[in-house]
Amino acid sequence: MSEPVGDVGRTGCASAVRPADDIELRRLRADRYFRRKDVLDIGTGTGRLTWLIARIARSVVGVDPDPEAIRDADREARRLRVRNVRFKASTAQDLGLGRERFDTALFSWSL
Amino acid sequence: MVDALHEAHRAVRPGGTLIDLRPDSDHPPRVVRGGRTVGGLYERRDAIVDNHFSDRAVAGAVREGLLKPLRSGHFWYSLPPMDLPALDGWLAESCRIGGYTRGTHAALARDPGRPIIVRRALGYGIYRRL
Repeated sequence: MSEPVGDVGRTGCASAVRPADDIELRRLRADRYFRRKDVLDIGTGTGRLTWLIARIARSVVGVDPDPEAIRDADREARRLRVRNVRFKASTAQDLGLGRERFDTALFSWSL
Repeated sequence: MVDALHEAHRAVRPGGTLIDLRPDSDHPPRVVRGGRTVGGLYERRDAIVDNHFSDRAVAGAVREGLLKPLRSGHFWYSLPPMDLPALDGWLAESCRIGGYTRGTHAALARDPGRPIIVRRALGYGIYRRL
């Protein structure tokens, strides 16, 4: 049974093992805050929650300081042909999004 | 953390929502086997301190009138079952969790092959952007 246990973060930090399903969004009652909204996912990593949010949101921008994670997320977005998602390598302190504004910002394990 | 909150506040439209979701240091992980809690895990001191800094940063943003609290709480989720060697390996690499609470490892070592489930708490706060 000694196998990896879930979605381990890119950094290799084992404490980054995250819930495998959408329990976070269910418990947050995500519909109210994400459906047909423009959403900013801060600390998106490889997009674990972003994909779930994108199913109901108008648009999602995922940001993360790890450029490798962002490259993986971008690749996955192309593979899945998800059109309402965009990823950007930037920090929470300097999002670098100019005048772009969002309805909801989610700090995903990142504050 | 304070800078990140100010930046997020700038990025969200007035009346929008800011959600803070992260591990909850007030509810340390539990170790469950056979449906029964047999022990726990403790978080590293720096992880707890970081969490408190974040709490203070959010409280400061509320005091500044940037955010209005709407709802907060915590919930538990389970990691997939693993055996004791897998759990030992996970803890050895963990940035956040320091190890077993007293007596936990001894209890687990009596039957190391039996599936173990770690239950962790996530805290959340939902705020209106003012």
